[in-house]
Amino acid sequence: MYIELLKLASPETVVVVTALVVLALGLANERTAGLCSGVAAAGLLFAVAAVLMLPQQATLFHGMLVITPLTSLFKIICLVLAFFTVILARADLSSRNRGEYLALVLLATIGLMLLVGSEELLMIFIGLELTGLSLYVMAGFDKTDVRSAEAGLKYFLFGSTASAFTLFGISFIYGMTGTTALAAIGQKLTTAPVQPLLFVGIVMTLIGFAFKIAAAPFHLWAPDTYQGAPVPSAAFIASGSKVASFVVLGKIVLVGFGPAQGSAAWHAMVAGWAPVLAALAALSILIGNLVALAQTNVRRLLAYSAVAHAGYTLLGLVAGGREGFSATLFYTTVYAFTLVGAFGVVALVRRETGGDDLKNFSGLSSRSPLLAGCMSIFMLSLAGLPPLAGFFGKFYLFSAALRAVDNNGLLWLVAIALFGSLISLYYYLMVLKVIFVDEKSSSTTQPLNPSTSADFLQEISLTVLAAVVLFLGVMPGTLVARIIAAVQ
Amino acid sequence: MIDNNIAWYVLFAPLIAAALIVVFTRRSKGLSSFLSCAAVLASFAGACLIFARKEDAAPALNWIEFPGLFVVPLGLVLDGLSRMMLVVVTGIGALIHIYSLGYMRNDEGKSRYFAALSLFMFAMLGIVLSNNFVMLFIFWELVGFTSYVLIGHWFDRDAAAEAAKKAFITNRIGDFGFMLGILMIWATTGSVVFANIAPRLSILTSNPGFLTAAALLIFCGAAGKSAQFPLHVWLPDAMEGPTPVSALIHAATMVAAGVYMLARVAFIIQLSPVALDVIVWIGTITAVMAALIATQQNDIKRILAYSTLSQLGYMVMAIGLSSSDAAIYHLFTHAFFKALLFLGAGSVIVALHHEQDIWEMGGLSRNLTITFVTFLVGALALMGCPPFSGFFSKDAILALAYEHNMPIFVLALGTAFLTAFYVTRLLVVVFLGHPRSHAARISRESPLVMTGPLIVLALLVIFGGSTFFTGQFVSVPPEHDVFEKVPLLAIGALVLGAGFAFALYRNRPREAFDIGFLRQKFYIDEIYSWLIDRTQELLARISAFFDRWIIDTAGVGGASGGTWGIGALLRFVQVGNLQAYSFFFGLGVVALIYFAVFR
Amino acid sequence: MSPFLFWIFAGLMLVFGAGVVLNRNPVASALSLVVSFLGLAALFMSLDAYFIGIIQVLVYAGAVMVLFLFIIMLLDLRAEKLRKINWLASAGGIAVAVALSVQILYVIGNFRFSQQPFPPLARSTVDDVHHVGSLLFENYNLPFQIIGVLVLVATIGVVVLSKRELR
Repeated sequence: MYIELLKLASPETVVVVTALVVLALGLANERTAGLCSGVAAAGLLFAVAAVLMLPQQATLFHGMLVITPLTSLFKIICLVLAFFTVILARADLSSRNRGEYLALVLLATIGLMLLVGSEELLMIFIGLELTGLSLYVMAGFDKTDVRSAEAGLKYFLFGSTASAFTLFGISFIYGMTGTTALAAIGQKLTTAPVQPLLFVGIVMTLIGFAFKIAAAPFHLWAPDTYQGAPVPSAAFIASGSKVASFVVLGKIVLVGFGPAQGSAAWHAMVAGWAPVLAALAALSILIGNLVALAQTNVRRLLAYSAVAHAGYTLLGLVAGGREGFSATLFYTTVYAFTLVGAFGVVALVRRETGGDDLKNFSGLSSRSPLLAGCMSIFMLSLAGLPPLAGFFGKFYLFSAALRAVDNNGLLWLVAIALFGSLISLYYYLMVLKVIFVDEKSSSTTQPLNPSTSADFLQEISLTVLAAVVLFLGVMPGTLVARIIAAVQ
Repeated sequence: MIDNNIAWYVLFAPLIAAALIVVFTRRSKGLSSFLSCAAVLASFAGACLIFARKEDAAPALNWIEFPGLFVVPLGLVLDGLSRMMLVVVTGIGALIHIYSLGYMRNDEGKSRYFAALSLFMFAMLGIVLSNNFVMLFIFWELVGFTSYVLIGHWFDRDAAAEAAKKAFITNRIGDFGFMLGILMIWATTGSVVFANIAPRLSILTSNPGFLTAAALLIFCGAAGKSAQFPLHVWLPDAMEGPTPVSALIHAATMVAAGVYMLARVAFIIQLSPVALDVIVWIGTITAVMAALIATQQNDIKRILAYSTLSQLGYMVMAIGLSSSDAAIYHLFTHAFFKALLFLGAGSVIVALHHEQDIWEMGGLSRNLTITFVTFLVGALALMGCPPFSGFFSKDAILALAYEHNMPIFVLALGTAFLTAFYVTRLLVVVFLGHPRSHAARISRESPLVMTGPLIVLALLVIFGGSTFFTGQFVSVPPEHDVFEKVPLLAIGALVLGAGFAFALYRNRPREAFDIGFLRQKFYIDEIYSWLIDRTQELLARISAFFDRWIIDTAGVGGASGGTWGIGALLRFVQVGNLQAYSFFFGLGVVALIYFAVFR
Repeated sequence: MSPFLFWIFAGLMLVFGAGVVLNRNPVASALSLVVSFLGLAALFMSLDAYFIGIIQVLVYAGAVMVLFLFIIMLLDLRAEKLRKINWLASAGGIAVAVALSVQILYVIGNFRFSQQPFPPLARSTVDDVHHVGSLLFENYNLPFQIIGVLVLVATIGVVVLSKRELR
């Protein structure tokens, strides 16, 4: 059995070993920073290879470790996101404590992989904690910046509160059903009517995830953390952690709580998790977009837009079913890649001008047409402009939501979402306007840091990300087909 | 290539040109403009071939498949309507490309301009050829985006950047409705392909309220693109772009896209009488309002812009009277004479070194003979003077209105009078009388690349009037002999308006009378900006409410690199924030549990 | 265990749990936590989970808390200064907490099974320690190992965040 475990958990094992090696290398010498990044990146690629060699289907320990095409696909996506974070970290952080930082990125990635690959509440909770703890430290990593400390502390305090609620909820569910395996919970719920106490447990469990995906009103940490944390940490919090959370949230509600879905249709609401998620989605879309309008800091703007995007993504889960889940997965993947790219641009701008306010971006198009071009692709994709990936993601979500409930019951939610994306265009365009139209103010003409080879590497990776966003916009079918084949 | 249908080449030629320009020939202006022109000429040749051979639609293949939900085919529609639009769009597009060679000769961003122009052609052809809603919407948005780039071509001018933004955002408001409408139609019929929706319409008719909502939402999209009241505000401001762009956007293409789309989906809209009523009134209001405003404008391009609005109002009116034939007929004739007028105006503007105020012109007929004659042809067509093309198409719409709805007819006739009035005013002030500025006195005729397209267009406008010529392209609505009164009334309105304006403005150095209400365009822009200001204020307050607890901490200075424990850390984080955050967190939990369990 | 004892220990836990937060003296807070842990251990024992109960006393109330007290005394932390209490904030916080408790109590109160006596648990055939051990190393092997990784993360975090930064 242990051999079996080792075989099925080989990607995780590879990442753990890499983390330990990177940690040791980082401790050895200050000058090995570059080597650390290389080892970390190589380890992640090895792990991708290990995922590819996993069997098609396997289950271990009643669902604690599940391997399906879906989990393998999303493990790879998490690993790739971690890979880009490592590249980002290369350009952003000073070489101090590089080893520790990269080790934390890798350990957080293990948490994400466990989240994705588990259908058991206890294991999911441990995965949440592992990810959370690593990310708290990553958020507060920059000790020369008080904002970073604030980001880490806020993230930590609210994260632990949310975890407490989740654990409370899980204990209710365990008490009512006598099991923590999702499939078994689902079966229990089909046989007996759902008790109000179980609803309390379900809602409390969902709160932990609402926190992770930054859905309003559990989003309050997001602006401070996105703005204050080191850029690679913020990028990873916004992308990897979000993707994994959506995957596992989808599995929990659809597999575990499936019978307690209820209905969020306008005139025919039925109690369940669907109306709860619908309320979270509507609130997130409205608050996220409206507050983003008034932001002057790009990272803060991205944070509020992230709140709104969490709202859109929830639409697929509210719709439920195979189509809804696939739509959510597709959208969150596209969003994660777009956001990593956007944060990459922010990191380079920050390096060059020493800040990430809107005014730091002025005249970017004349300084670096490549960065400006990439940023416009990311922003327009976030705004949902065709033919970029964001458009099809939204279209897929909205159509899934409309089709899911009879008589266009979710039309109200779709209308709110469309309205939100209409508003969102304004602030994304604001960023682009600053980049393309505003001339750089003469006071900061001297770049603070000249570009280095790390920047070059990062520019390549940004170009790759932009190409991915464009490709998924023109040929969304390639990824959608994979996702929908993987979702049972 | 997907198959050997020429339509694919017609569609993709401009895209390839745009890609080549962006990737390779950005640095060489000459090569870029050459590539762009070659592509559009190739498209035009292809379009003519398609038209001559009456080719049918190519078999579609599945482009995007969201299994279990829907399939978006990559398919083209080729019928009488789209074949005609293909020829018009590529033909006028080609002329404008050639004209641009002269107009933009010395422009800094010539390569960028031509790349955007090619991309615009691609998007526009895409709208014409799409056989389903999703492709249509994608190209629709692409047209919006490229027009944003083109209008804002001189983005260092504040007005141009503002105008571009306004155009984009106004269009997005329309598109919001359009998208919702598409989704609603799809949700009930289960298809996005026009041909597949048609047989399933019975599902829609069983729910008239839903159908009306969907039809009106789709009309929203058209109202944005075709600049119908109350989303018309972007079009006059879009005049900040280079004049060929104005011609391209206002003549055959972007603004016509809305009308074209309405004609494409007329089979849905016609099922809802309420939607038709709304559409016809919106069209009429736009026509009358724009004509009234045009009588008091001084910028030559703005006058033409408002005349475009007014003519678009006619077309939408025709759609609302459930005759898409009449609408397309007018679209067809309007495309030529409006392109002619804009290019003529461009010729005048270049000759006067970018002077656009008509009161700085005058007496130009002597120096700019070709421009004057061709402009006169266009103006007569716009007024609806027989035997020019505009007369017949406008007459068809007037006859329709007479038949169906008397108040609409009266208003449409009034618009015809106003049109004659302001066009004559424009002609008299710009071309007759004495030169009123030095630039006007020493003006010289434009080069052949610019006058050439003018002459071609003028000939098309003259001969476009004959039913034989037009009948090849559009199905001309049959003449009803009962309505002999209508053409007579129309000519009466024309003579009255033209004569009145001629008497009023002949040899007059200044504006004859000043109506602030009209000059200020009914204060609609002011009302909008007031509304936007109020909304922004409100939004700022909302944002402040949700964001306030964070902003306070931003002023904290940087920490030193010393050690700090949790206590020191807490000092920097304002405790108030955390308390407020926790409060909202807890409140959220309580509300959710209440929502899930107790409600 | 009789209901009487349950209420005693549960009450003890709650009262001293509140004491941890309310005490301004760190030493008193830590000692309150010890008592609260003892109450928890008693509750575990009442559920026949003797092993976990004893571990709770030995590890948490014993080792961990003693370490805590050492640190507090070594760092010589003083009692927190009396801060002005924001009455609005406290009222809001208390209101939310009360609302949440009322909701949960109401739901539990209306829960059918909560009004019936709980059926006695089946006696385990193997002894406690053996049972826990076999669970940890068989069924819960993976989480057990992952918790090792979790502890590693915590260690790295503590070291990184508390390391004195040389300038």
